[in-house]
Amino acid sequence: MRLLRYIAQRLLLLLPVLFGTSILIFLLLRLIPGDPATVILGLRATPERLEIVRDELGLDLPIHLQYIQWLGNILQGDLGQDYRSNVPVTTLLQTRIPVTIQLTLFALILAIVIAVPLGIRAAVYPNGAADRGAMFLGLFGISIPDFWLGIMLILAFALGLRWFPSSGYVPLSESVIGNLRSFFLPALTLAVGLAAVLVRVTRSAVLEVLDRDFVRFLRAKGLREQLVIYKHVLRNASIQIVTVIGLQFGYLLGGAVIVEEVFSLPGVGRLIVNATLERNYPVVQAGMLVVAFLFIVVNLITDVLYGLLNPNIREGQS
Amino acid sequence: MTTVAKTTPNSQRRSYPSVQSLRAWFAASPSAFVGGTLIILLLIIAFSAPLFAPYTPEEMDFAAALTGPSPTHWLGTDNFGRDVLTRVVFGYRISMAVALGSVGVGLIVGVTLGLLAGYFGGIIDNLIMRPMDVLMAFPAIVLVVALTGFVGRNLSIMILAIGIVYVPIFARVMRGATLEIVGQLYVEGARARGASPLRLMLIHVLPNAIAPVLIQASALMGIAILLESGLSFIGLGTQPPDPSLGLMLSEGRQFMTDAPWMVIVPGVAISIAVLGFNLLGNGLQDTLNPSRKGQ
Repeated sequence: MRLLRYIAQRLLLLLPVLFGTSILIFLLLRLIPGDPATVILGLRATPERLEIVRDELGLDLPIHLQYIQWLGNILQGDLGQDYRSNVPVTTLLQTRIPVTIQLTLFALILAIVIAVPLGIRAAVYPNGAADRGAMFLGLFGISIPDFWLGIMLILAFALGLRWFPSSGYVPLSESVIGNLRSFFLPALTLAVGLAAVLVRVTRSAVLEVLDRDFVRFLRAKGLREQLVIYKHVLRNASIQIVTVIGLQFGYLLGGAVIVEEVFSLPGVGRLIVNATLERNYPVVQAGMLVVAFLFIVVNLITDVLYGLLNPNIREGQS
Repeated sequence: MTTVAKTTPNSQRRSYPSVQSLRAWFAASPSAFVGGTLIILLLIIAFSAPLFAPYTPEEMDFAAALTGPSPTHWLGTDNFGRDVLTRVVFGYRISMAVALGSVGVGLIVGVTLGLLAGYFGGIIDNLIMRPMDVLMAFPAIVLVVALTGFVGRNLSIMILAIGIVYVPIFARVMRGATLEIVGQLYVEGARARGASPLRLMLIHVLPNAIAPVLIQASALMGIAILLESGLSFIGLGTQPPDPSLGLMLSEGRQFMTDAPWMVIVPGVAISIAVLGFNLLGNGLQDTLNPSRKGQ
């Protein structure tokens, strides 16, 4: 019950953020000097087309009514029109969103698989090889630009060794192996930055828990070391680890923007970048909306997991 | 992150200002020393670029295009026969300008807002911090892409856009630190003696709350370099023919099998600068916030 109240509280706190986010995205287009319809269609647009766009955006209305109309459309699932190709933006996004989600989840899994065991080992054996490896990853992983790492991986493993394709995307429905192969290098590229942060957090969280009395007690009781570490210590350290994973997910979404570009993956990030380059503003707005929404949802999931893992919240001793 | 540090007596530092103090600095925090030295060197190279660069960044020599490292072109040439080393040196100029500029913007605005929010609390806190939550609802790069994409692609807009992204980060850190300090007895005491809010904030709170902000600033300078190069890489930042490191990378991509130095060199150059700021940040973390040492 306490947990439900906690979740409800989190949801309630989200409303102002969602509201503010929508205003910010709405205003971006209005901030460009000049008539938004001309901005969207370009200077060579015919008067009739301009009139249609003006009408659809409700540009003759006062600005707050324009916002309400725009928000109303979004809430009904109408994210607007790509006026260049005359396709609804939702159609564009439908194929793009799964690509970005698959890329980020794949990267998340890789980062966890690399960083958490390494971080634990680094904490359990200080100054050992794992500790030095963790330090190296922790420092270099956040210092190397991900797009450069991507290019280096392409040079080595795609163009050099030919283990993976250098770019392009194979849908899951076409070939599972092909799909995983097309995602491996981009996901690895994206994972390194997160792994760098994660390995440091895991190491310090585990170190902190190892220092607590109950660990000494469990060891004294003669519990197998493996069990102490992987059952008791890890559970207590997981609160911090999960929180950081959630907080860093935004980094993955941001990184995806550039990594999708490097590997020519047709995701939301690449859509935003190309639309921005073409000054195709309604598409940029929709893409930003999707990214912000995903980001906010992930933060909510993190909060809920945090509540589930943290006995103070789970059992309601605030 | 760093290894154990030995504390050196302060007196020793003062009596031998040159080599001794450098040694003391190194002993106190090797990572801050290495990072700090690296950054100072890069700043010197960046801002006196014409002295260090063997050529000018736009100088083309088509006869020498796409040649590898040689005595005349230490790091090779690009497809226009421009000297890669020269362009890296000038590229650092843009990197450093963006790093210093954007963190400057974020620092000034963010620290002010965070200080006000933390000091006054209540409605003022909410008025300041809720919009910050909204800015934090986007991954940095997406916001920067949108701002530069909608407003324009040039150096000052890029600096401003990254600065705006940094404002809520600095504001949050500053607010948290301010909250801790405001409750302390000496602040209460000063207030009881009739010190004005402005005086309290500037004299008593700010200097004591600034340490975590400075640690953050160092790391964010590194991230600014990554953002600038990423933005230029996707075509939304520095525009050709200006020598941004990210732009060099994207230009080098089509030639990477024949002229790998065109993509390897700018990437290593970016990494060195970011590494410098991260080392400095880690070192500051250890020095200014000793309780978190090794984390």
